[in-house]
Amino acid sequence: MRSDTARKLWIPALGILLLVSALLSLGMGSAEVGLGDAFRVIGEQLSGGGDAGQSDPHTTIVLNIRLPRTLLAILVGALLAMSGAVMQAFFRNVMAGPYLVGVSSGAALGAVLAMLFGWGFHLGAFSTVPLSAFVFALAVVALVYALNRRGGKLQTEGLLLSGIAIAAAISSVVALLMLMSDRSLHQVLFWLLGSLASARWDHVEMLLPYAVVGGAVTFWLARDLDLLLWGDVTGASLGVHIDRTRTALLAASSLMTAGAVAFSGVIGFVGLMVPHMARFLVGVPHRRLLPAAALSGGLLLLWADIFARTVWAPTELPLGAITAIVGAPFLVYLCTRRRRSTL
Amino acid sequence: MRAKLLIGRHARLPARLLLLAILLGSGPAGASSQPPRRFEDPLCHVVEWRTPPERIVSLSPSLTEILFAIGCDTTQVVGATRFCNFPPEARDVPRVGGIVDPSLEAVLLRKPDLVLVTRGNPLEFIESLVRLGIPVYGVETRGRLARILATIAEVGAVTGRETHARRLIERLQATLQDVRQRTATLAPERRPRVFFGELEGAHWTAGPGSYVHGLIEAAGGENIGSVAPSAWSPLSLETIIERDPEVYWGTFGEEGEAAARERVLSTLRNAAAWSQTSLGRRPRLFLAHADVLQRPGPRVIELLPELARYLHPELWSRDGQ
Repeated sequence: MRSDTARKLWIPALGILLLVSALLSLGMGSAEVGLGDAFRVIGEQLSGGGDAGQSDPHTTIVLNIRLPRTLLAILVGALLAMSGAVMQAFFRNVMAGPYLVGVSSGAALGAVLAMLFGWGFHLGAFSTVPLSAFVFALAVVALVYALNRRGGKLQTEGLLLSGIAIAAAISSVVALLMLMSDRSLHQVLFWLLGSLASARWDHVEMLLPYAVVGGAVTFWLARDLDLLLWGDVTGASLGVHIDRTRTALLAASSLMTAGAVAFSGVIGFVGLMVPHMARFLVGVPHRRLLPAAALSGGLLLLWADIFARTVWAPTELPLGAITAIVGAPFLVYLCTRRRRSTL
Repeated sequence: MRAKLLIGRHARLPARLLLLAILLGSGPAGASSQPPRRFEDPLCHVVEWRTPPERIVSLSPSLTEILFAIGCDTTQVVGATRFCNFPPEARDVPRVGGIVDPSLEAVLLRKPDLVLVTRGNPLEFIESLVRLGIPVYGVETRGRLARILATIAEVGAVTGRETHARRLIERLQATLQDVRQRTATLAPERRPRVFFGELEGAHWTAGPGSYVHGLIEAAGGENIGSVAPSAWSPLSLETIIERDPEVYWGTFGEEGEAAARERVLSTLRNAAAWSQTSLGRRPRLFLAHADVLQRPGPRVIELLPELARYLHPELWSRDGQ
């Protein structure tokens, strides 16, 4: 067992790694704009010399395409990872995650409905797409909770099965919607596979409140998450207001998933894999686990996206396909280690 | 059937063709003076007739357009998809379902003597028709500009309307040639860089091998999507911006041209990435109806002079046309 201090050091280490990766990411893409150009552009901006009216394509590519995309990748990765960490503790199941529980599908249904039926207007600064995604994500998570609660206690053995059933039902509804609406099929399909190809500054701005609120609530309840791992009875005896805490945690994790899905589509397995990696590095306590998961989630998705946009440039691969290629074997690995599956 | 197909494949040499004609002509079916005409599609379906088909069902809007363009009317085109809305008479043709979801029963009820199909129609559906003994002919409609002319020729032949088809092809070739002649001598720097496709989302665009690419090149433009790996594929936004588009070519649907124009302009103005390009600073928009562009047929080629005049008005004003 590593010492506690060594485990604590992982958090700043991940932070530095993420920062370096983010800087490297500004120099990578299909356009011939390398790291040197990226730093020159950033330098000009920082020294105030960057003339906003100038239309140097390098400046546009670094500041308006790569930078928002990098930030969005980090935010989405962090949100999915934290949401996954919350669900794994909440359902006391190592295989829980927004994708496998069906919450991502719910959010996707909400987002697709909003996109196809033109609810896509903006309420002030808030786009209706993430709001609709949130409502549906919350509905799914409530349904999963109700399906897996017997005699006042949460049974988690059937969790993945109910998730599969819900995801199957929802994906058929989405397919029907797409067929009936007969509009930009490939566009919705690409989005459903997950992509950050259309990342823009306003997406980052719109997603930020979801990250702040969701992250703050979960971090606030980090100790309760630790206690929930011991089960309801123990948790209650140790002073957790089970129902109120549960509601807050469910809402927070749905909010984080919905935000991520609304701006990037369905990117699977990040919420499943990352909490395990983080737990390996910093241990079980959520006070450390949550920030470590957020940082590693950002790191993982950032590199997955760099891969997606460079490996077959100038076209792009769907991001969700890449995370699934890595994530599906990880799920198999978790299944084969079922006996040691308690957290 | 299979034996026939093999002969058909090797019958490219005139001598073998003659032999085949003699063999077929001397069979019991050859009682009438003329041997039947025989057509084989890329999927190895064989269509044979002595008199041209009189009840044709089309399972694709582009094939429906071509059928009407080569002189068929609603007495010959007896079935079409629910998307077949051009020419206006096509709306009166009984519907047999959609492109990916045609109804077998609806097709059978039309008692067709020829069903024209294309890529996008389900293969199992096509095989069901063949097994029921209905003559099916598949046409590859997707491809370069030349493919459109080849499609018209093929549809003309299999429906026995070669003369009409030839006349249409000659007219379209003249259109192509006229525009190409005017734009041929344009220096590369006088060819505006055109981006066709989505301004948002994954930025799907038309790459080389697509007829849209062919239209842009023929009209004296440079296709930004020419670096895309296939005829229709997502293109990275930074590659688009790096190549600095000057003209945007988009489509409009039910919303109408004015609404589409407004939407495009607002995206170009508001999205930080676009607003910095030549296109963003001085938007030049060419919008065409989505139906025309989604259906490889005569209207695609008829769009070419419009596009070329938009890109190069000076090439037309000189001779006062």
